[in-house]
Amino acid sequence: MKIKEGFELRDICGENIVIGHGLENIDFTKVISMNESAADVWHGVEGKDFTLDDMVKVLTDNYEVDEETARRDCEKLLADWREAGFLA
Amino acid sequence: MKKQYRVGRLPYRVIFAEGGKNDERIIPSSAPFEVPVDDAPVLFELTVDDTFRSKEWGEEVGQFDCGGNNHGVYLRKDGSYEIHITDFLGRQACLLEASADFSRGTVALNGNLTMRTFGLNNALMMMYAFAAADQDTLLMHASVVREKGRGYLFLGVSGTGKSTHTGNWLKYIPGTDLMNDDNPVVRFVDGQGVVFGSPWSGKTPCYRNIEAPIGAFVQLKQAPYNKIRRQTVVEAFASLLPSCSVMKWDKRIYGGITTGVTHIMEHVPTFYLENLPDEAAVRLSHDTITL
Repeated sequence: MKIKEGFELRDICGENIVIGHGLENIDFTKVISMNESAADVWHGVEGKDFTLDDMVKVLTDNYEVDEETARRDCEKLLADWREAGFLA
Repeated sequence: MKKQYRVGRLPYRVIFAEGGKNDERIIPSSAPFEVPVDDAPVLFELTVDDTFRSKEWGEEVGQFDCGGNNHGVYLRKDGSYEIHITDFLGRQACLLEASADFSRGTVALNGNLTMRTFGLNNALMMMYAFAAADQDTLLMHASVVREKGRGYLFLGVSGTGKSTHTGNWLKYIPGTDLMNDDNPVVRFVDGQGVVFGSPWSGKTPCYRNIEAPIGAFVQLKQAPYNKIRRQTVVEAFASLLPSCSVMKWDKRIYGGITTGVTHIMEHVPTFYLENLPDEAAVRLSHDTITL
């Protein structure tokens, strides 16, 4: 899977906020912010084809977290991203 | 005939085709902003020529309701735009063709004087907002008062009571004046947020060539009580961005507006005011947001 073209995560006054542009994202009107670790995962996988394992690896590489916990968090994050329409 | 104007410290030119029905008298609200014509680079140049006809519509992006008026937007393969503006009665008042970066445009007007004034002002607002989008410049939907040299902008969808609230500032707070009632220009310049009057002000004639550093933004919400608080970053972003003229499918414009909003948020506080249309609401808002 991929993060859809046109979605961009920006630092706005210290908050990580998703900006959606492009014709295909014209109906995206929500303001969605992410915490630091979720933003790291986003930046680790944006622009490429990725799997759940790739997301988990970003967390285990950058944080002191066991793989099981990281996987649970990423599954939840992935569900949130899917619901928000960020995934292609 | 060429005319030059300067709004928000940014100059632009309007060229009225010779022999046509139109001249600067169809946009009287621009008169306070007129400057001598020169050859310096300008933000955009807009030609007004009623004989202009479009070669190609392009692909329909959408039909957008802009306060009761409709803007039909079409995007061509080369990135240029064609925009059809109809008034609240559904009459086509204006056909606008604009280059991809909105630095050049041509407009054909239609109908009576009211429709022409409406059509050309709408075309000018779009040219201005979208040409300046990547210059830390925002055309906002707000009512603005000035007190002790600072501008205070009140935000909210149409019908929230922006004009009512600023009207009460003028009534109850001595020394305040109205800078603009509908479409001020907001810029991040010299390291601060600055608000400018404009030739566009909705139903209230208030076309003033003045500017002031911004004291605060206030998002308004009608309520059966008065209560004010600071907004979080996410709330402030969700208030400011939808208050700006923007075309979100256009990466240059949307990215530029987002950057402009971010710079403004870094320097200006934003508040959330739940309020009644009364004097107490104005006292609360004034005593909280002014220095």
